[in-house]
Amino acid sequence: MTRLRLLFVAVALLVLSVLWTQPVQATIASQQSQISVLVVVDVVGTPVPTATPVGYLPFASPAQAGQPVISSVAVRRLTTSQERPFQAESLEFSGDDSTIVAQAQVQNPLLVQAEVSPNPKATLLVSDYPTVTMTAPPGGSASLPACYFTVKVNMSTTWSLEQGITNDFVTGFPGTDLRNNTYKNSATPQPTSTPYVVYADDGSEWSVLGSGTAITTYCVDLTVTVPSSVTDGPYSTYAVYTLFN
Amino acid sequence: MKRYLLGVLSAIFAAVAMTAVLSPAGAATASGNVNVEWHVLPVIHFSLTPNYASGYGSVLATFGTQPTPTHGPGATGVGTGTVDFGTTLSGDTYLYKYAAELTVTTNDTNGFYVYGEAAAALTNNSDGTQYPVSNAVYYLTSSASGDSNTGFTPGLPFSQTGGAVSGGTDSISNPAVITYTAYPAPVAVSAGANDTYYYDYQFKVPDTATAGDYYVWIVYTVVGA
Repeated sequence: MTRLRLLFVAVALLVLSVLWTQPVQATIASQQSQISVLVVVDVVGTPVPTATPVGYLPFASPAQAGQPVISSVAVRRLTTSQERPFQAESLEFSGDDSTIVAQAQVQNPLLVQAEVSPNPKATLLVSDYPTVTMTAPPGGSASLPACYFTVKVNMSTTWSLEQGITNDFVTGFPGTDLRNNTYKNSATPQPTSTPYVVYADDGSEWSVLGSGTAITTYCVDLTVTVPSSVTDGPYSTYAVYTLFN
Repeated sequence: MKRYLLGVLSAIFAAVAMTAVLSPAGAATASGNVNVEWHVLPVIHFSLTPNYASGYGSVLATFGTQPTPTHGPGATGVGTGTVDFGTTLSGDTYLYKYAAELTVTTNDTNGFYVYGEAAAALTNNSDGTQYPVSNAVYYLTSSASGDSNTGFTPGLPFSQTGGAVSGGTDSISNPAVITYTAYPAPVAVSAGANDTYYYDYQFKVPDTATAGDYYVWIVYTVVGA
């Protein structure tokens, strides 16, 4: 009987603890705002193999018997006095070699529209850059130092801020190759940069950046290291910041 | 007499000159080949289909279960109208599913380039304020159906063109036209003669965006390689 009573008491305490803690957690973990900063890594500089000329014959005297005469014909830009009106579709003069390239082009437009309404929570959490771009060669790295962009919490009540990136850049170019050095703008940078948590790879979780009770601005410096196997092109991911109160 | 001599000399000079002009080249003439090359302009067929699949429309960027897409009145149906995000809130990000399908058919076996740019800045037609399009409107690859993108799937920003723009008001009947003197970086490159591209769009509404109706023309240009 005593054991049964103790069991009832234990269950009651458990229920009470659940009922008591749930609203508190809900209060603490209420998402107020979520913003994203697009991080674009423009990979440029894959070495191009030197092209072997096809049919190249150096200029030489045409007096050699039995040798073909190679004639180089250049199209020269006309002087003003020689200009004549003409029409061509998308005529392009490229460089100083006076090459004339006529290209066919077709164009189609698309209208994008939206009706925007004010959002009272729009400025609770803001970044000064919605997009940041870094350029690096395969196997190289690039940095955006010196408080390149900021994330500002505009709350004077209790808040916490989480961060992470949404996904890898591409297979073979993991998101952890992007490292951040995030610090309050009133402080000095951290001794080292750390990889972002990757939401898609790390159990759909973010990491806690900080908490406070006052308006706070964070500086974010970025460093990316591009694997040597990555080819030229733009790669992107989102750095996401989520504000709770 | 002098006049007679001058006349004779003139006749002699004229005869010599005519002989030089009219006589065949004879033994001094050389023959050779001239290699003439020319390029025939490729024929390009390019169709742009907005709202190309059912289920098109805008969803708020969120993780987890995705909302049902909605759209504004400009998106009049599958394959028609505009990409209309409908009602949005400043500071939020939205994904527009099945925004644009580009189908290119050419006779150019060298392939082609696709350029996509905004004709102007993102403009609030209600008060005239403008915002950089590269901070607001993005594109990302999609699919013919079964689109799994979210508002947090990374894309790439559109840029505002450096070309000359004509037209392009907020009316679908007054589209923008871009005249290029130099092409920008392409949004797509095809190595073959034909290809189809599917795109979703994202709209990151600026934090400080004023209330009103916004618009921007995205102009796609296809050029033979």
